[in-house]
Amino acid sequence: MANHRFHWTPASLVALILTLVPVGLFLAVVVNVAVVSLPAISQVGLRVLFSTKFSNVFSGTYNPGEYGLVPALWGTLLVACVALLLAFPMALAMAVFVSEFSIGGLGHVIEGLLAVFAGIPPIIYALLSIFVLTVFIRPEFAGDGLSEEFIKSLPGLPRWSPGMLPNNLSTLLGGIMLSLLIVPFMAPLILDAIRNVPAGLKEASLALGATRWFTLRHVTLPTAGSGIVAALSLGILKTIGDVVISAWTIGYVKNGLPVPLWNILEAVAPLTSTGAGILSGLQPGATLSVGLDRAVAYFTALLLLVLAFAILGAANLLQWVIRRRLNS
Amino acid sequence: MNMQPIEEASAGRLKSKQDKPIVYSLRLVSGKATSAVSLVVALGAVLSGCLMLVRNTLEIYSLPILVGLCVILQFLFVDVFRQHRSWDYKIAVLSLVVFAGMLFLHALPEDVTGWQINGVFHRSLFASLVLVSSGLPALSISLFYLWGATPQADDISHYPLVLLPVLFALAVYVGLIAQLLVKGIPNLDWGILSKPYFNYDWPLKITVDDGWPTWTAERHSQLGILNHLKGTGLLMLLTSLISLPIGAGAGIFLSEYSRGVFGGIARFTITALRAISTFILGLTALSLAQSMDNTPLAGIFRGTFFNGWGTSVSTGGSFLVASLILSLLVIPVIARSTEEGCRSLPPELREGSLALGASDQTTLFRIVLPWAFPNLLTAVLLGCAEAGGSVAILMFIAGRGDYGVGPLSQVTSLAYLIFDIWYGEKSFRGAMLPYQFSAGVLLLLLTMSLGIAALFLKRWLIKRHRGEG
Repeated sequence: MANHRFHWTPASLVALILTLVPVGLFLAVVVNVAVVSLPAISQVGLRVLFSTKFSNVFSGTYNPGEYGLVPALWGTLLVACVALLLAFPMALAMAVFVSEFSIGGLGHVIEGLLAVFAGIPPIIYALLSIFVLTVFIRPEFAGDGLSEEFIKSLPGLPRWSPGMLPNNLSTLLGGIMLSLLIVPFMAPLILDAIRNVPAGLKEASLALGATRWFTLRHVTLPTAGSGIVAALSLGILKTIGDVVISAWTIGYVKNGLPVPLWNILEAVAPLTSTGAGILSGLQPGATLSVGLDRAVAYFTALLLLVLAFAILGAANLLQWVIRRRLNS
Repeated sequence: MNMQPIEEASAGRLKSKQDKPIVYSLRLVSGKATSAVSLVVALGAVLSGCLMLVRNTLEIYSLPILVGLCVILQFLFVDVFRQHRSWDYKIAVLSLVVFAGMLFLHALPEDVTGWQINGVFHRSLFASLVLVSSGLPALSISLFYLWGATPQADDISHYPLVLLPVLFALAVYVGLIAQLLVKGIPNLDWGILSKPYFNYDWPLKITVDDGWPTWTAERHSQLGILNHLKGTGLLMLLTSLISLPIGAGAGIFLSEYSRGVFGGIARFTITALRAISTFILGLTALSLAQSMDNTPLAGIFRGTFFNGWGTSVSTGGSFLVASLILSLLVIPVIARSTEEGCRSLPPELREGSLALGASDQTTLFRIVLPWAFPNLLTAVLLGCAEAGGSVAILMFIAGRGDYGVGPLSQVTSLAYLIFDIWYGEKSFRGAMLPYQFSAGVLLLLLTMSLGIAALFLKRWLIKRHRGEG
C-alpha cells in the first residue's frame, strides 16, 4: 500500500500540512531574494552582469555604482574547478576502495571516518586553512623566506608584493580547503551509486574471466555513471554555495579579472563572498549596507540560485542521456 | 592464470643454464628480487614525492631517487625478458621518462618564475610531480611482476592507484586535525569555559555637579565563551524541536502519499533546499529579522537585551529566527532519512498488519514509524551537528551574547565566535585571538562526537529493533 495517491485521513492531512511548511518557506526564500534584488537590475542595469569593473572603497579609484559581477562569476568557476579537480579523484578512489578493493576491515573504517568527517563544519576548514597556507602554499608557491632583493632579481615577475601572495589570500587556498570539505560529502554518494550497480552484471563480467580492475573500468563505473554525475553536481553546488571558506581564504571582493585569466594564485572572490562582502560593509565591525549595495548583495544570491538550478537541470539531463545509452 | 606454468617452466630452463649468453651475463640477481627492489624504490619515490609537498628541503633527495628508479627499471626490463621471454616495452619507456624527468629537474633553477604569475614556484613542486607520476606506474609494474604476471597480479598492481589518494586524503585530514588539537588544547582552560564574554559601559555613579546631573560610566569586561557554548546548545535544541515534526511529516508524506503532482513538488523542494547555498539562507535570515522592524513584534524577531534601565531591541536577529532558518537546512536531512527508513520496511510487515484488520493509520503509527525510528534519530543528531556548525546563516544576524542567552535574545554560537574573532572588531579580536583555536577544538569535538554517536546509535538501534546486522 506504500506510496499510493493522496487520500484524506487525519494522518495524511497532518503529513500534508507539515510538508507544506518547507515548500512554502522555500517559495518565500526565492521570492524574497528576487524581490529585494530588483533595484540592482532596475538601477544598475545589465552592466551588473557584463562589466568586469567592481568599484569599492578598497579598489583604488572609488566610483560608486560600478557593480560588475563578471570577476565574481569567473572566481566561482575557478574555485569550483580547483576544488573538484582535487576532490573528485580522491572521492572516487575512496568509494572504489571501500566498495571493491577493501583490504580486511579497512573499508569499513574508512566508511565510518568519512561519515564523521562529513559532519565537520566549514568554519573548521576555514580555521585550518592557516596550516595549509604556512606548510604548503607559502613555501611552494609564494617564495616565502626569500629576501626581497633576491625575489626582485628573478626574471619574469610582473610585480612584487611582500610574501608574494597578496594578503595570503588565493583561489588555490580556497580550492584546497573546499576540496577537503566536499570529499567526505561526495564519497558516500559515489559509494551508493557503485553499490546500486546490479550484482549480476559484475558477476557476469567476472565469470567471463575479466579481472576485477577490468570489471570496474568497463562494467561498474559506466553503469554507476548516472549516480556519479549526481554526486558531482551536488559537490559543485556545495562548492559554489559555501561562503565561510571562500570569505576566509579568498577574500571579499575583486576588481577586474585576474592576469592571466587562469591565475589561481590571485584572490578572485567568488559570488558568495562577494555578496557577503558587499552586505557586511567590507570591513570589520561595519554596519550592514542598505540601499543599492544591499540590492546587489541579494542579486549575487539570485545569480547563485539560477546557477544552482541550471547545474541541477544539466545534471538531470546528463543522467537521462547516460541511462538511455546504457539501456539501448 | 595460464601464465604461471609458463613462467615456472622458463625459470626452470634458466636454472639449467641453456640461456643466451648475453641475457645470462646480465643476470645479477635471481628470481623476483629485481621487482622487489624496484617496488621499494618506486614506493620511496611516491612517498618522498608526497612528503615534498609539505617539506621542500626534501627536494635534494629527488635526483638520487630518480637515478635509482631509472637504473632499477632497466634491470627489471631485462629481468622480465629473462623470466617471460618477451620484452615489456612499457618498462623501457617508463625508464626513459624517468631519465627525462631527471634531466628536467637538473636543468630547473631552484626558484621558478614566469607566465606573468605573481609568485615564485619552488623546484620541489615539480620534483614531487615527476616523482609521483613516474613512481606510481613503476609501483604498479613492479607489483605486477612481483606477483607473477597473472590476471590476479593485474588486480593487485592497481591497488596503489586506488590506495594512494585514499591514504593521502586521510593523512591530510589527520595532520590538519592534529595541528588544530596541538594549537587549541593548551589554551583551553576552565576560566574561559565558565565565564561569558562581555565588554560594555555600565553607568555607575550619578553625581550632581553645579546643578546638572552627570554620570561616569565604568567599563566592564571579561573574557570567556560560556554564552557561546550555551548558544550552540540552545540553537541545536530549538532547531531540532522545529525541524523534527516537520521533517518527519514531510518524510512520511514523501514515502506514503507522494504519487500526485504535489508529491513531485515536495520532492523537488526537498532536493532544492539541500542544493541551494547557505549564503541565500543567511540573507533570508537577515530579511526575516528585519521584516518586523518598527512594529511591536520587533523584539521577537530582532532579539532584546537588558540595557540597565529596560529592554532594548538588538541589531541582529533572535535565536528563534536563526533556528527557523537553520531548520530549513535540517528538514531535508530528516525528511530524506525518514523516507529511506519507511521505504526499507519489508512489505510483508505492512501487509500483515493490514490483513489483520488494522487501518492505514494504525499501520503507520505502529509498524512504519517504529521501523523508521533509527533513521529519524540519526538524522536529528546529524541535524544538530549541522545547526551547531553553521556560520553562513548566522553571519549577518549574530552577536556576541554579552547580554545572555535565551530564545528571544540575539543569536550567538561557537561557530560564529570563530568567525567573529577573525572578522569582528579590533578590540574583540585582540582579546580573544588566543582562544580561536580552542573554540575550534570544542566545535570539532562537539560535531565529531555527534557524528560518531549517530553512526553507532544507528547500527545499535537497527540491530535491536529490526534484528538485522
